[in-house]
Amino acid sequence: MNPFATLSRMLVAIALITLVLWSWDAHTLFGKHGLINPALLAASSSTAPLAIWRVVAPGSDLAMQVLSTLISVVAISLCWLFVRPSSCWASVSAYLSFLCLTQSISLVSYGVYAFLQIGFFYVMAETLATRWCRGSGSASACSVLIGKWFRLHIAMTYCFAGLSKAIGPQWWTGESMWRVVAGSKGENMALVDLTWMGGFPLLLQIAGIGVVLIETLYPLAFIRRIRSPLVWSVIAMHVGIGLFQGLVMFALAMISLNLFFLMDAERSGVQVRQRSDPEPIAEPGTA
Amino acid sequence: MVCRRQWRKGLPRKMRRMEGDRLRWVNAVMVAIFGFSAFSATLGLVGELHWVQTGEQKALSPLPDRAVFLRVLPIDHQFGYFAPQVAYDYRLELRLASRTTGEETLVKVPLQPEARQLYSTFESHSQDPESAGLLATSLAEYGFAQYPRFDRAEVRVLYRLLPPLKLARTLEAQWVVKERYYLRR
Repeated sequence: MNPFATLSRMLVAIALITLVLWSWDAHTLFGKHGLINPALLAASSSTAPLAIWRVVAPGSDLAMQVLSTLISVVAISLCWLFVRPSSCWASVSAYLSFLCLTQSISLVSYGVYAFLQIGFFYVMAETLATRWCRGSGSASACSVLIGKWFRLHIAMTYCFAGLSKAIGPQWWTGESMWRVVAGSKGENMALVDLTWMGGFPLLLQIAGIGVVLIETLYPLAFIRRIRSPLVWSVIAMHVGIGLFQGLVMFALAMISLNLFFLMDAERSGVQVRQRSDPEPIAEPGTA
Repeated sequence: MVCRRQWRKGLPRKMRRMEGDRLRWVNAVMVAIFGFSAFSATLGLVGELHWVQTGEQKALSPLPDRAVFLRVLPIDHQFGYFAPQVAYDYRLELRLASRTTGEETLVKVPLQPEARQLYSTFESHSQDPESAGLLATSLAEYGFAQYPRFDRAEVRVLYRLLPPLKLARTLEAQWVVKERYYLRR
């Protein structure tokens, strides 16, 4: 099965659950007299080309209706993509509507929206490029090519995240890990309380250094022997983020991208082996 | 098994060239997107290094104003990425009061977990002093709209002060008031 189809279904499921979970409170958050003033949303999205605030005045009665309609359009597009993951139109519609939503609420969107957008972009790129190349008979090569670039993008993202952690002292001394586990108590919706780990500073220091190393060295996952242990350790890290920081949807999105990395790398390896297969072609009728 | 290279030899030359051309175009677009993402991430890293060394934020924008339409592509997510070097939790607290009756209340908004996560992101912007005032005004307006009997609001910007790791066994984390904003209807 095409890994992009599996990836798009996983991402769609995560995006839909995320949407459903906050759309009940959309009016409390973004309504005319909501917690977050629409004018602030509009101001923070001033450089976003697809934000709805470019066509709707923030704070007007129409704004909330447009936002509700946009949420519905995103949900419908995502359902369409779930049913037809190889459809160009479904992927374009899902990407653009999702992008429009995230750019409209960029003031409050966090990591999960950024990575879902990246995932949907590559799903869209794969369906469009595959369709374009289909006429010339190179559709599968095109899909493999897009998969390779997506894996490079994921690896680059992790590498820079690791480097930006590494330039400060906090991750090396364990202070940042302490802040992570200390946030697991009560307020941050974490599923497990880990504050007792404050009594074991060495453990936190080792965990902090481990996080920096596995993120910075993620590009080594292109080496076949290292791939599985490295990617599975990153997946374990995301399970920890979901449990101890309460960022469940973010963790699920990142785990999906890592699973795609594994699946697509295997597929790419198979393709390369097939291409370099020295077995000669049998002429029709000579077998 | 028919290998791909052998199969391609059987194609007309025009079709082989077309296959190569289209793949090259796709590859070129992907190189451009990846290259700009890497450039943007490098700029973000430089900005963060500057922040770690000097404590000042440095605005290095990867996209000029004329090129904001390029934000439809996922090319600048790494820019502005902020690793939790010193990740404080920030929170806003709204207290309402009535001048006529002397009644006071602490407003608590029940939100579903994912909506709470979005609201936490909103609250985290209060660590910037310029944004904190705007966020406080927004919250006070919400309070006045939901509870019309109150006409005074106090918005507190709180941050969680954690003890250093060495003192984690002996000291407890505390919520400390950083700013107070007083607003009236």
